[in-house]
Amino acid sequence: MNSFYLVIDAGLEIPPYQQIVEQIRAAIERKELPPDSPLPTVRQLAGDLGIAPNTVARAYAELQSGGYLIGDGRRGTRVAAELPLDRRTRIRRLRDATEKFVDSQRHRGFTREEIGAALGRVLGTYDAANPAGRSLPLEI
Amino acid sequence: MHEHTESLTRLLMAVIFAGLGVAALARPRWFAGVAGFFTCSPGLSASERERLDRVVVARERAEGISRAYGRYLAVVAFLCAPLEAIWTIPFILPYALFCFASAVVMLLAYLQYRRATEQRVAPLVPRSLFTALPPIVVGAMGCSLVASLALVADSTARLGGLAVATCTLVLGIIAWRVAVAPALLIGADPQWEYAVDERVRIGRARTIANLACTPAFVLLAMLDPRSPSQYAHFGSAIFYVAAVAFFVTLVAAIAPLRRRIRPA
Repeated sequence: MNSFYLVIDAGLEIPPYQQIVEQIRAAIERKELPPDSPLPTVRQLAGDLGIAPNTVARAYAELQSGGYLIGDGRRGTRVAAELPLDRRTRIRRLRDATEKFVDSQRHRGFTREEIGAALGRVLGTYDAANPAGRSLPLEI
Repeated sequence: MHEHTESLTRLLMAVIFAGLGVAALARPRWFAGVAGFFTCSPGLSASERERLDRVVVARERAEGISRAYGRYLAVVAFLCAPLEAIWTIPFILPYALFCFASAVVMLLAYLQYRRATEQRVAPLVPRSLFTALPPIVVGAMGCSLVASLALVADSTARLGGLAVATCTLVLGIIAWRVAVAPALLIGADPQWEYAVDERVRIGRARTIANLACTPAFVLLAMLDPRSPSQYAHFGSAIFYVAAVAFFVTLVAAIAPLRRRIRPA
């Protein structure tokens, strides 16, 4: 059994769902909540904290979309067996993958300019279809 | 029931009520307090015992009116005693009322505590209804209900059976509500508060389950063998069903109190 306790402070400006998300995320990253450990149901946690079930459901949904929790049907909500990587590690892996891709294309006889132009065209098409995704390449 | 036997039964019940009333006035915490669940907590060091006592006192203070609840029960007991003199009322009805009042007191203590705790602290541990009310206890309450409903079919014990069946059903619902009640922690010492909350929840839910099974057992035990009731024999199957249900819930209510309390 884990010994982690959630605290909701009504005096804070941070909304309760965000307080839940941050505390659970921090507990998972610090290993206070071990991988695969079960979490209480939405109804139970909402009752214990005296808040609306929707608030807890929203927090769980955000943690699931971030890869910290998995909703496992009848087994309930659990901590993910593998933690999502931090942003710096993910960017490093993207750079490694891009380098491998560029190397492989150079071996196939394409020039830097041709590879850059092809990537630019792909990203241009991608940006046109997904305006929200534009920030990612700029950070790299 | 034979008239002479029923007179004796009613007199006995009235004396028991008077005794319960006096006990509830003299020792209200026995009936409505939290400390009773921790009188036997083996294996604790002096510092652990001190932390436990601090948490229990804080909880009793938050529940607020443990003494007042004891006095409410005393009033109910003193009111039930003269009811035994009214022959149109089945002798078991005041006892069923007292069991009901005991369960309501426990439920009220929970509600009062919930209002008293402002800070919201929650353990990230899934809980199950069956921790507080194992299937065998739920089954025992079901058996008790069936036993009392069987009496409804008997014209000589119909009213008493109906009263007991209603009491068993209502107490079963209260036991379930207590078993699934939220964990209520103040936040000063969450690990010990959660351990105390778990034991109090389990203790109260199972005590109410035992109270739900008691009236059926008492009613069947006191039915006079000379009465025309087809269930008026200690050897009847329905009596054994009620007796087993009573003792199963009694053991289930007492057993957790002897276990070592461990902070989460």
